[in-house]
Amino acid sequence: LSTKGAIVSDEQSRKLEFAELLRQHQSQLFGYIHSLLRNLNDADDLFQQTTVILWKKFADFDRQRSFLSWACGVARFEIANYLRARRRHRLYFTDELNLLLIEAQEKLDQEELEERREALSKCSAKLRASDRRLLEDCYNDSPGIAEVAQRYGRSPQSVYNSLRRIRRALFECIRRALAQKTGPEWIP
Amino acid sequence: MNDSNDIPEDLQDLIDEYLSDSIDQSRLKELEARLLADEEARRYFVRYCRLHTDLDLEARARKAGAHALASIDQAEPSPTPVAYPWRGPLRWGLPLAAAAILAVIGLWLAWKADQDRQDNTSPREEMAWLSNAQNCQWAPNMAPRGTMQSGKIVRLERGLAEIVFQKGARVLLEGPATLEVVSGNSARLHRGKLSAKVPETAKGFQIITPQGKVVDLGTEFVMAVEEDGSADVYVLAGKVEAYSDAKKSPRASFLSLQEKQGARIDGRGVSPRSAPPQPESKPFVRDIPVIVPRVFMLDFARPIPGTLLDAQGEGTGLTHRLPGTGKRFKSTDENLNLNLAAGQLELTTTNSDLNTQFKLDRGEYIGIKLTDLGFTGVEDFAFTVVVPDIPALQRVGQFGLYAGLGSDSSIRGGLLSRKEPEQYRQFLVQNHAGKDAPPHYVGLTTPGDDLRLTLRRDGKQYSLTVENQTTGNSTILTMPQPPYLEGQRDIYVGFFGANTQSEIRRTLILKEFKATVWTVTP
Repeated sequence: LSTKGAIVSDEQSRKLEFAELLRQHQSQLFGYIHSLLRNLNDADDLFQQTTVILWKKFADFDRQRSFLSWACGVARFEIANYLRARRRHRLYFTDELNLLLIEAQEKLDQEELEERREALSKCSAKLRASDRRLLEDCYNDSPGIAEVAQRYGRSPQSVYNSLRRIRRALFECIRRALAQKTGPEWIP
Repeated sequence: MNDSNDIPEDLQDLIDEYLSDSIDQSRLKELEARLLADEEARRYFVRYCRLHTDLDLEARARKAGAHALASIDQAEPSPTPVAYPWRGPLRWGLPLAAAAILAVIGLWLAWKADQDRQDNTSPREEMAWLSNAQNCQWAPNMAPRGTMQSGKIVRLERGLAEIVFQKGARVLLEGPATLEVVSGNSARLHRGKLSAKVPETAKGFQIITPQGKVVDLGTEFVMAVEEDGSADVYVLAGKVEAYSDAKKSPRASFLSLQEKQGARIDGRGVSPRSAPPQPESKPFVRDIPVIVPRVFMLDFARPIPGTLLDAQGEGTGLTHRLPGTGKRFKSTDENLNLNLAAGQLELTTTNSDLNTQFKLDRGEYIGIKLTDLGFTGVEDFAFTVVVPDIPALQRVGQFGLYAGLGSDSSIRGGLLSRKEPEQYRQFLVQNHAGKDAPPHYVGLTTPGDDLRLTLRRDGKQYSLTVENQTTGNSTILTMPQPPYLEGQRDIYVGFFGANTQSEIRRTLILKEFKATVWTVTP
């Protein structure tokens, strides 16, 4: 009985460790998946699928390695299979680049992610109401730029251009906010 | 952090097309080539994509918020308060966590019951924080870092940690224990012991256990979850309800407990218990104790009557010999000289050895008894001597520090002379039933060096630090506490010197003797 008890408790402690590691890195992992799929619903599916596989393989996880890079590596295969099954493979990066992107993703740590999110919240509050509305219409389950354009009575290209302008303005605003926060040495 | 300034406009265009999914095969190839070639471009790429992710998630959260508002409007009065925008500015952290946690929940469902987050607060909110800690050792990756959000799991290997929850409940966790923060007024105890103090503001505070839960209606209780998932709870003051998850339970699935009542929650239901739960038969800690160091210090600058006497009959200040040693020194000790002018005690070694208990009646093991400093067997302690200008002892002459019950049950460490002339090695060794276990060795020291030796017990670990004041280096040897010293109260500590297996005696100088016991005041 004692041996069985020990196994059960070991299993339990692995689950807890896994849950904690996932909790620490899920933002970054989700970001990696979303950056490759660019669609929130696809990213949700793949994230879920990936976490289940990660848990199944967790016994083999080498504690010396970075959990995030391991998790992104697993996600990479899942994404490739997913896109292949949907015949969207041709619009996907090569493995070589995907591996380099995992490295880049690791350098975007949790702290910076949170600072970026906080800055985005302040920056988007500064947007013109019309720009904010356009963002809302174009993001999350958007019917597509073409349909949004039709609704607005504008050309798709012009909506696309507006969206691009708003995104870049937000990005620049976030950059400034972070530069201020980290001190003068970062100001270009 | 030049995120965009150095990024060419045409690369930005490529990334925007990529994100809008309007990129074609040849433009994608171009983007790929640019990203492969340039690390700075990749740096920019992941950050720009992140903005895209955050915007997507934010849009979803707004939608979810609108849905939640609508459903609440329809179903007044609301059964559960929902934390959405009107309770404060919408945090951008929320959407991401919502999306990610949704997925994690899928995974968790198999493992846990569905009681999580009954009060439905935003998962990124600060739910609890560490307010006090003592001697804590946390499992890797499972230490609290600043404030704790919903889902944070901490595993305390040893020590005491006090966690305050958002609504005001205070939990004192006793290692080893694993606790998961569920909300600002609830937690899951996976394993281990805790005591909880629940003020009026936190009435309804819950601790979920593997097989049930405990709901506090104020004010104080203790509980423990064992390896098999069963839980014991005991009410110190106020009222507590104990629930079991057991289906078709042969026993009750709910009990209301008053002061000085207890219950056990396991797979068969909830059953009353009269005595407080005491796993490992140790009482619960209800407050982090105050630790007061008690110090004993000698500078050998004046004789102290009523203590061990030197050759001239002057009191050295040291009070006890290690039992089983120095029996022939009935009153004065010809090997000791209290040099008041120099402020030092001089000890001339004898040929003796704790290993095999060789000629210990003349062995020089002089020090104090820790009970005189309030030691009861569990406190941490440390003691230090300064030994300047160390002489050259012949092999296997030795000097250093000991802690033990007697000559046949101790741990000792210090310097041991080597076969090579004028060389010492640092050592730490257990001696049980009069025999040395294989010693732990390191490093080299040479005669003439000034040393400061410290033997310390910290939790269940002993360490010997030798600071070489001549070279400026120091070396620490550590060893787990030997079982024969665990929990023992009558521990003697002190200094020893022996020209073991040689007849060439040397004189050691002790400049300072200091002992500290960190006594605990509950």
